[in-house]
Amino acid sequence: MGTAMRHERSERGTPAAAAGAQEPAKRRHGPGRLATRFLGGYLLAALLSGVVLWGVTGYVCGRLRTAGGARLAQLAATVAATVPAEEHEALTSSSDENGLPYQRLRARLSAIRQANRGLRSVYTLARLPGARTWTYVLDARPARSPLAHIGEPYRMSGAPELLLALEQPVWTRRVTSHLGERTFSAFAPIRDGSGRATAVAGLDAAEDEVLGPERQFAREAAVFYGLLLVAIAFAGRAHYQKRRAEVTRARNVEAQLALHRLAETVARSRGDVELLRGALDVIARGTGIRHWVLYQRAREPDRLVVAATRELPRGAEETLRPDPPAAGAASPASRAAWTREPVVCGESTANLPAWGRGEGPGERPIRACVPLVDGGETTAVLQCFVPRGRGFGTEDLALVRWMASQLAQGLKRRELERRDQLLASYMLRTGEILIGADAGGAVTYLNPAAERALGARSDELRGIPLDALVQPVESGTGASLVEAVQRDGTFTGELWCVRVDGSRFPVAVNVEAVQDAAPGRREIVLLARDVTEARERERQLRAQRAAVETLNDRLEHANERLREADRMKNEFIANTSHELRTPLNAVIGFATLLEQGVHNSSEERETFARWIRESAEHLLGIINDILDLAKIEAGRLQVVLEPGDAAEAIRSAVQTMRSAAARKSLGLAADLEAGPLPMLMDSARLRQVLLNLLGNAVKFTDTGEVRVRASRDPESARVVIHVEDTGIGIAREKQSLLFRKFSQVDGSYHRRHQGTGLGLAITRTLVERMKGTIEIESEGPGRGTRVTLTFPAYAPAAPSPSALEGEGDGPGDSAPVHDGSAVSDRTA
Amino acid sequence: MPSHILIVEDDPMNAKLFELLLTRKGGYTVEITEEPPRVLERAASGAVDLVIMDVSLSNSELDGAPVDGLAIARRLKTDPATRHVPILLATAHAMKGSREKFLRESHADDYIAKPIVSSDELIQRIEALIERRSHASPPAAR
Repeated sequence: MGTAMRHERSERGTPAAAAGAQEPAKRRHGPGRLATRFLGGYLLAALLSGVVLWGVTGYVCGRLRTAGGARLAQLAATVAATVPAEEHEALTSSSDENGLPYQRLRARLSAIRQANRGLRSVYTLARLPGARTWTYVLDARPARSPLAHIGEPYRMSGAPELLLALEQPVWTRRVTSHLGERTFSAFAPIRDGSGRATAVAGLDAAEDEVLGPERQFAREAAVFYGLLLVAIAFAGRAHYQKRRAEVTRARNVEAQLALHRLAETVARSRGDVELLRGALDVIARGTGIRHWVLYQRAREPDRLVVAATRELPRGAEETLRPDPPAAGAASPASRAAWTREPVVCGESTANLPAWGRGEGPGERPIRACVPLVDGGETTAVLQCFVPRGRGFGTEDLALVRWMASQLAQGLKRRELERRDQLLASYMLRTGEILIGADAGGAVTYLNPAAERALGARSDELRGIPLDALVQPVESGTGASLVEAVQRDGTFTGELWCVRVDGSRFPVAVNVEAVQDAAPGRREIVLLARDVTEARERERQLRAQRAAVETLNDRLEHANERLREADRMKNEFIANTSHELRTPLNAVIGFATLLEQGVHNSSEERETFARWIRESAEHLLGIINDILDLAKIEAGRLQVVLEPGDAAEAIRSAVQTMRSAAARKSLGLAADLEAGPLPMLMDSARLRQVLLNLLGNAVKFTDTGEVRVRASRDPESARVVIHVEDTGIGIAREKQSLLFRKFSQVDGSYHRRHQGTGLGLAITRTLVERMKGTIEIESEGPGRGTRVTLTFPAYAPAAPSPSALEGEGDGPGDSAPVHDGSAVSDRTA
Repeated sequence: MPSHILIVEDDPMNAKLFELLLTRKGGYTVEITEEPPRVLERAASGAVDLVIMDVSLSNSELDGAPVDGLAIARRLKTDPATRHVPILLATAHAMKGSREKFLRESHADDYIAKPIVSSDELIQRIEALIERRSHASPPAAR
């Protein structure tokens, strides 16, 4: 982690702050702090033991010195005892030094000196009465030193102990100048027989003589003290190590516990806020840092929003409010979010919440921000406020990072779990069919909707091929859905879903091959929706649309027919006008010529009169046609059916047409079956029909003949009449137009044949009124025409005539009905 | 020398009537035909002073296709050799607008509806057409 942090620091340019944050930590925090504490304890222990030892040593040395002094004083007393006071008194001048007593006494003293190592000198001092100065008497120094003679003043005559020494033995420490070394001196009174003392015996001993034991002891004490210190140090170290191990263990346990608690908190908390607060509590306990804030990253606009806080003052959310995460963001949290690396800083006081007295982390706390990263994306930032004095070290940062990663994982897991739960509950409750299959296409899972739709339980279908449950809409393609999905990764469209009982229903499916954990193996998930109703609705819609379209077509057609009828009617009127005007022209013209009598011969006059009559008759025929048509149109055409002979009507009509055929040099023949052709008919109308057909045949035939054939077809019990010609014929495509009212096969002005175009329409109407049929056949233009009429043959034993009656407007229950006014004015 | 009039008419009775009216009342010489090639030939010959043209011709064919009087008139009026010959449409098609329609389609010079009620009017019309033509264009073809 050091790399990242160092990098962060150098990048931010605040090394001082970061170093300041880190150095104290090493000293004080954790094991470092523990070591400091232990060092202090050690010093204290050393000091205390030193003081105690010093006191004890001092005391012991004092006692030792006193003891030494006392021994010296005792030695002085011994010396004094060896000197008889009387003899000593007698030695008063240096001349006495050569006397035997002096020599003897001095020898005694020397013996004592020599007997006691460390004695520098042994001597006696005397004070004359009234004199203040002490003078040497005896001096038993080693030979090499200058000997003090009798009466030589003692240099330290003023020493008070000398006076005291007249009473009792005393000792003292002093520097004897003549030896230049520290010495202890002891004095003891030399008493005479009466116990009076006028002289003292003295001795000087080397310091070691008295201080030796003391110094020895002190040395030993020092050694002891040293050993003691070492011992304490070792003990302390051992204790420290033990303690440190304990602390580390405790911390680890604590951290572990904190992580567990974090996981638990994440898992158990019911709401997000509760979760986050709990997590912060756990983290605080785990790290020992009290003040926390968790930001969550919001999008659009990209910003950090305070999600939870711990031990932050009221209204801290307002104070914190980090700027948007960006490269140069001012807020450490935003920087951390942007760089996805921790940021630790301790200098800035910007956006710092104001804690109450004694509640906050103190002046200028260290702020540590650790991003929670999920999939390379910062989702949240964990920030703590650490007291400056506490410091925030690498271990702290590592721990917080650990916690943060745990929290991030926990949140992620929680989110996934929540999504899984949501998905699972959706899959269980949805009406949508969900089928899972393994890579080979064997069914592994069905949700309840699928079970319902297929009519089987999940365990009954598990393992069967998915391709057995669905079929392509277009049968026979043979394509396997599983193969297609494994190849393309996905399939969307409509299929048949096959129930267990073999019935099927249409479904809209979305099939996906889902990457499994093992690479290359892809499980298949099929989502399907029953579209039976949708299909049905579509079908109905289509049907409705078709119906509307049909209706539209019909209307359009009707409209077209009306327009066509209108057009034909106008054309009919124009043609009728033309047909009426043409004969009228002749009538008026010839009448004018007659009237004006311009060069009229009588023959010519007759011719003109005939032409006028013929033209008038032609006019009459046209007018009759128009009238018939008007009657048909008005539904007032009357047809009266009564038994009659068709053959007779045919012969009559042929006879009538003979002259017209002769004018065109056409043959006109009638082939009639022998005997009558009885049928129910309106003889006038039948004649009209035949004349019309024969007229047409003659009109449209220039060469050849017109032939009428009539017979009775026993099989169908009908009278069949053919009118055949060898004329111009009719193109097939125009044959269907023939019977239409106002119809003209060719509407242009170069019509070869005159006529209103009404004849056939009228003819067919008449034929149908007589229960007959009419058909026109022609092989095509120039191939002649054959018109076929059929009528029911009449047999006297036939069913009641009323059944054969034309117009059903009479109560006709007996013989032929004569139906009101038969209209036709035409006569043959 | 009397003017010579070509009558194009399919109905024999009406053709006869025109002949009688024109010869006896107008003093013209006439010839009658319903054959379009003949019409074109006669008009181009320069012998014809005026054409009376029926519109509905039942039996007329030109170049193998049925034609009506309007087509023949148009043919005459587009051919430089016959353009100057006046054409009078005489037809029983006399609905409203027929006159304008026929004159526009055929480029004919005048129109008279059948039945011809006044033979005098017919002759006046013919005279006017012949007169106009003789003034308008010199008788180059004569």
